[in-house]
Amino acid sequence: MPPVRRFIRILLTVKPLLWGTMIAAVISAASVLAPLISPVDPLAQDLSASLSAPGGQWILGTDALGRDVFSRVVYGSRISLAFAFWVLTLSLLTGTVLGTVAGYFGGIVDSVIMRVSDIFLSFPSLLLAMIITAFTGPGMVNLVGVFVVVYWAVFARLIRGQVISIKSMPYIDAARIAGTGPFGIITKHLLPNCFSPVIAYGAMMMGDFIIGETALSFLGLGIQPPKPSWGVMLADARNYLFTAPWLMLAPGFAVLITVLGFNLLGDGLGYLLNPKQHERVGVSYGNTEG
Amino acid sequence: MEILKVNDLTVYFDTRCRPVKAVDGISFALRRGETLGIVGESGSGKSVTALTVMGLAQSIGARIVSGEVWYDGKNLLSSQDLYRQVRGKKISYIPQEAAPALNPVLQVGKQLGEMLSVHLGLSAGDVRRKTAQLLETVELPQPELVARLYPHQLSGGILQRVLLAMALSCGPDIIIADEPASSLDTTIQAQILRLLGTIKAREGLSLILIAHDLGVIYQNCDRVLIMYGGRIMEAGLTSQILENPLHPYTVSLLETYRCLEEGMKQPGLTKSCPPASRENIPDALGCVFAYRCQRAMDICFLKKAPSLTLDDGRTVSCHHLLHLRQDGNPDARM
Amino acid sequence: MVRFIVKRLLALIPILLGISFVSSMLFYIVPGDIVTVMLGQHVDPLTYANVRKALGLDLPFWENFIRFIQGVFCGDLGYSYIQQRPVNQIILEAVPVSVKMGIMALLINIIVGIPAGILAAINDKRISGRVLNSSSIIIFSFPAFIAAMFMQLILGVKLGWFPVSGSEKGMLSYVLPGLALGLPLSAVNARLARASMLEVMTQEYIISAISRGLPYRRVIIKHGLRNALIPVLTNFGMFVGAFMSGFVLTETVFNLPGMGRLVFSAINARDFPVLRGILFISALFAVLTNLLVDLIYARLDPRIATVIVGENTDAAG
Repeated sequence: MPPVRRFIRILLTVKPLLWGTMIAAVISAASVLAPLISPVDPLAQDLSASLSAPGGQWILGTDALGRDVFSRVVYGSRISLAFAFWVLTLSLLTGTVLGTVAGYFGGIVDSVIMRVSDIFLSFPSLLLAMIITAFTGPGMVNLVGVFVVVYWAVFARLIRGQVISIKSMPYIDAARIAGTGPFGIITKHLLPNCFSPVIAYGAMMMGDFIIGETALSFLGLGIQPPKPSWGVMLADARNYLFTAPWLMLAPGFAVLITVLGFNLLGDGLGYLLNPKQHERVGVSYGNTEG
Repeated sequence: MEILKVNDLTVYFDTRCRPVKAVDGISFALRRGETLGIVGESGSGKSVTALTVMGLAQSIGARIVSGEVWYDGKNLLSSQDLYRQVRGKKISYIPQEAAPALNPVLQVGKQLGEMLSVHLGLSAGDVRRKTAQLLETVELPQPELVARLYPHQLSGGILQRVLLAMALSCGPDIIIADEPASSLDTTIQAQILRLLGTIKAREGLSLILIAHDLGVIYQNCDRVLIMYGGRIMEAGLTSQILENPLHPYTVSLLETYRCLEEGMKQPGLTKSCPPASRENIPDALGCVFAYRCQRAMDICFLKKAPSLTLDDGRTVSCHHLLHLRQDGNPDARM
Repeated sequence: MVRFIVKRLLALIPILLGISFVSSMLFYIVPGDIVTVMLGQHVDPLTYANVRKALGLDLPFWENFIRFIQGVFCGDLGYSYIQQRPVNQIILEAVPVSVKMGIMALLINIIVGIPAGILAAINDKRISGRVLNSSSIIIFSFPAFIAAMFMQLILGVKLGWFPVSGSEKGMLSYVLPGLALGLPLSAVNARLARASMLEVMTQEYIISAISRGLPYRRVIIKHGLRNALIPVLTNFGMFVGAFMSGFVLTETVFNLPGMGRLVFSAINARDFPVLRGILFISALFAVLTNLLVDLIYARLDPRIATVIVGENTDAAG
């Protein structure tokens, strides 16, 4: 079966994957095409139209300063996705390096890295992020840095576990006997084979990071107003919860749907990458009999 | 006298593409007091047959397409309620491997006692006494100690004996043993089988013994069914079949066994692939063994061979035999 | 078992040292001068020097670290210049509100999550199981504070069933916060319980138990459930961490004077000693809960902490 057709067939069989891919694609498209989609500048104020209800000229209404909620929600996706993407990339990178080193070389290096990760994992993660940010101060760059500090350990653990289980496979021994050095073994044989659970987990973590950014911005620790972060919008909406509920509902649903999309994606990928399920979805990665 | 009768049993596993016929229209009977062996290579449907007779087809994800299991004047497959009355009580099952068949977080004595209190309604004190007594029956030293331990603390041989004790606990009529102790070493397997034989004779039980080891069958069974691809190839008295096989499959099975015993390099059946990967075999119109049979004729691929009862009481499903019989020479060796 | 406990307790020491280390590091990661950030530009030199000394910033880092550990042993977590009171006193006052909310959330988490997961697993092939499973992933995607605002709007304002903010109405005030915090996490529980139960239901010992003629309900409860709940239980340590983070958001939304709102107000007031104290206490609490969970786990699963006494151990796997 050609890869594209096989991909479509997998999508149609694994429903969470289909929905997750669709939602993630729509949100990503919205964030890339934000200037084309949003009818007005998300920062443009129109005090004469303050707190207009949804409908008519304003699809999702306006806030207290007369800014278009729809445009702000669309631009908000840029902030959330960019943030989650950078945190995922950097913490995955840190986690991969440290996890591979720990898992491959073992011994004292492994113990040290794992004890340090134990310490980071014993803190409630979002609380740790909040409190560190309270000390370092808000802003996009600080926030990304803090999240990487808080979450690298999760990925390091995951990668280390994978590396250890794959390290003992016969084909690694074979490569070693054939004279491949540690670097070659790690890059050619270990890492490509340990990424599948990481991909599924990474998709789930995207959702967590988006929640984290929204939560910290909501508390005033993350992205600062007037930037249209969903968390900032939710914080503004608190004062008008009963008079102008659309201010809360619009970014609230935006967060919910985005997070749901990434969770479904992670769920679907996890399902797909679980070898036990291959038969059920008609996927085969070569001969599993031998 | 027949104590258990299976008629036209067909069991499918529904996969995404098409159903896999695990058991394909088999019929057999178990006589009171006898040991009936079922032999076949992996994937021949013997375990599925056993589990279906136990009423467990749904539990392993299989679908019963047709068939009847007659016991005590009732067709058990007609209602799950009937099974609830006989399962574990009148018909017991001993699974292949002991360790995974026991709940890891309960002491073995508790799991044995559970059967006694559920089926026989014994009081706590009686349960304890009967548990110890049963463990003694299966020749376990220190039954009180064993009863207090968890499965992971006991060896495979001991666990197999515990399962045997469970099977015996409610005074059953029939025991179905699915390759008991075949994963253990041969001495322990021999001990377990001897114990099973002794108890069977003493209690007057009927036994269905599933095995892939022809030696085990030869030593323990009165009659034997040879299964392949979900169908019965040949059935009859053990001595007749193993000493004078008629079906080409039985012939090559025995040849393989002998070659293995004698340490030869490429015994009979290993020359072709086993039926385990059923993907390779299109839904057989004809005989399921035709694709591996060295004596296959055109008709073998086109038409199912009817099962034929010979004068000596055995039944064989093979076109060759049919031809030979039409030639007026039923007992000819092939 | 005793050896197991001692081993776990010893493993705790480096973790606790690490937590203290990270907590004492906090004062050193503030960009610029921490006292100026706390008290503003126009602070008189005497106060400046006092605060700096009290925070231990006149000492080298490692001495400050040791002083922090000494303080922890004496129940001293520092002094808040904003509130002019010791930090442990401030935290202690806030604890009861958070505990009540935590209990409420935990109850909802258990009562809703576990049965939903088990039912979803038992009815896996039926519509009801699928509905439970898909709704769990939707609920699981709700961030607690957004759930909180939705609930305030619907249950509090539109329907008027529960108080929307404050803690004056007794336990009733904790229903919505408990729901907001507990419900999304109960979906985590449900998903875990479902996966675990599905896994257990395919185990041989379940089929074996049915083959022994035990009633289906008994097999599910006695043989299935107990094994399925072990992994669910081990995840409870994770919930404590999630609650600690969740308190900050939900208590802020519902205006409850607990530890979470204390974090929020301390962040706004730049009350750094309070933040450091709360971070340390939360981590300590999370670590101790995990220890407790491990001990209960060892008690429930005989494979963890028992010594093999049989003659053979070949069947131990």
